Amino acid sequence: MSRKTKDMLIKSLILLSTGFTVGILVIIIGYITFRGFGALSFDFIFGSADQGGIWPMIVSTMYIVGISLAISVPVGIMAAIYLTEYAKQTRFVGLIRLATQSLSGIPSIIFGLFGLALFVRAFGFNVSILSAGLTLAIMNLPVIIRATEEALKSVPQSYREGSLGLGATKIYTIWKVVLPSALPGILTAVILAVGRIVGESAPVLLTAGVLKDVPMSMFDGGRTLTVHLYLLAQEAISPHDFQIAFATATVLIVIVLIINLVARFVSAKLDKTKA
Amino acid sequence: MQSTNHKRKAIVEWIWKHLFLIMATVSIISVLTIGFFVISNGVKPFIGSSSNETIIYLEKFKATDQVKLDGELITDFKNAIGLEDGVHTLTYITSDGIEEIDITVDSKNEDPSQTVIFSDEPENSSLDETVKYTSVLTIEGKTSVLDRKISVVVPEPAYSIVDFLFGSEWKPTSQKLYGILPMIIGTLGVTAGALVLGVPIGILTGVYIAELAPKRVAQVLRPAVELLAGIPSVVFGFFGLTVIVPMIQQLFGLASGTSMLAAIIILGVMILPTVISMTATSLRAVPNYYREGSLALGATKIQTIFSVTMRAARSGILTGVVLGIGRAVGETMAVILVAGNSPQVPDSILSSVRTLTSSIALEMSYASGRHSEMLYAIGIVLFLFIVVLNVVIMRLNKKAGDH
Repeated sequence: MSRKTKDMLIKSLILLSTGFTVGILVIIIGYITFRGFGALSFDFIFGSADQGGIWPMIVSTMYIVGISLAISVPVGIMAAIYLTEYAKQTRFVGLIRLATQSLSGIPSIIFGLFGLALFVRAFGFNVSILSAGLTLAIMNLPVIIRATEEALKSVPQSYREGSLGLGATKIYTIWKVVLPSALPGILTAVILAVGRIVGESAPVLLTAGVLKDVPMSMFDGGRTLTVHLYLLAQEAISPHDFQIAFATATVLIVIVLIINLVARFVSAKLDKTKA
Repeated sequence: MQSTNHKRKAIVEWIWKHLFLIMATVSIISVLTIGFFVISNGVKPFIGSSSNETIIYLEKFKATDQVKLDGELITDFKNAIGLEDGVHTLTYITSDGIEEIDITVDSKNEDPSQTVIFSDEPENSSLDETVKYTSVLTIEGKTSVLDRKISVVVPEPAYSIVDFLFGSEWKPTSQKLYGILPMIIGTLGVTAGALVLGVPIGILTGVYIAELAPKRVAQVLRPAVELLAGIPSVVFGFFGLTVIVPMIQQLFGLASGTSMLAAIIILGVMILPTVISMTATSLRAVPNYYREGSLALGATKIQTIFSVTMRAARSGILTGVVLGIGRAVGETMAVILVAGNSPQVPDSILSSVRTLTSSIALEMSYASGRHSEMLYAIGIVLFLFIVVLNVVIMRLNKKAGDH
């Protein structure tokens, strides 16, 4: 085989693979939205579960996102500030980094087991949106710490030196100079964390349960959109059930699309400020 | 004035610094507790028996019924009586006056069939020993709702780790058999299949994005890959259930399309974004003079990519593959929806398969006692697997550093 034909062959394989990747993305999104879009309606989004609506699931999902962000964002950002701005590069800090790094690869179901043992049983929060929120907060903590660290590290050292040189205290420098410059990076990480929480299902199934009502307090169980879709997919028999399942999947895809767009918008701003 | 201001600033500084330190500590502690709770639950079945005492449950016990333990009448119990080690005899006298049942429990007896002995089974009663370590004696009432039930639950002895890892039967409720070999094989098989499908496609797509695509095209492809990474796993599973599964069913004329193949296809697609972005990122990190040198020596663009650029980016690409393995091993809900989930060693790519993660998600909601602890033990197995993968990644990165 001549060099040219060999090159052509490999090149077409490369194009074929790229085509497959793009194709499967288009097919998944296209097929689900095509079959689900028709069922989207005001009643579907804002109706109760008995009427085939998903409002309780939307509320549960939002509560869980809220609880886990309320904990993981401040704790994660402060921990990252300590690690980058204060801590000396000791072995201890290296160990912390290693721990957060390895934690991000752990299967989410293990976080579910942990949340079940600690929050649901040991703390007695029962199967509730609080347990799920706390579990997902811990799951997202390493990701937020790492992203914030990266964002803080990308702030030029000269910014800090300039501020300190003008007589500002260290904490003033962090609040007024370092954090604002790192904000887009941190924000992108937070937005992507929202996407991960919305899309997570296994740990939520174990810690928040499958109850179909709007949770009245943090200690009530609740069903998220993903768990709803999972149960619908498992139990669906009639075409109507599938219709609802497709519509729920469409809602999830739309949320993910919006989150991705917002994250891109924010990180585009980041590039602009850098340039 | 100046000095108090200075002092105040110093205090504020100190408070913030320590707040940050506390938050960092909180993060570490929360991370460590995960390991602690999963491990402490998961090792229990292997270090001791499931309970210190034999427990006798009495259902539909009437206030006028009498229970004697070793001849002494006992009154203060709520449906359950715990018997400590040793030989005990429980006498149950129903208030109807006709039935008196002696139950002898000898927890130290070597012969398991001699541990619990019911004497004088009354006429209208039946003994059920289908569930291992549990014997249920039912005394018929006027209707089935009024049936009295006496259940004797003997503690399960410590389970051997070898039986756990290499046992081929998972019958957690009836037989108390907890062999996870089928799930280990299922997880490894599905992951290997997903790699065969996803890695070549992923690497080649990454090569296209980083090396060949015009800038405009790459700018569209990169967010597309991010979007693929962001799609919830349940949605992948649902897509698999409604498209891939029926396709397999028709193609191979099967009774059900939920199979190992369906799981492989879905997981193969799910690991694509990880492999693609790691490949593209590490290729882009290769300095341009590598390419220029190769091209100047007369190599074609494709030859340069495969024999120079990719070789230089090898460790990054491998890291992407290892991360992909992690994602495939850890995936739960998508696999449950398409894999069929029967806990047997799959005999072909078209048979039903169950993974380690699926077992946890499927059974945790109703598991109790040792069954639940065994699911935690599966969690430990997964945990160890990911630790090994992390060590591999660290080795790869170190190699890249040396390079």
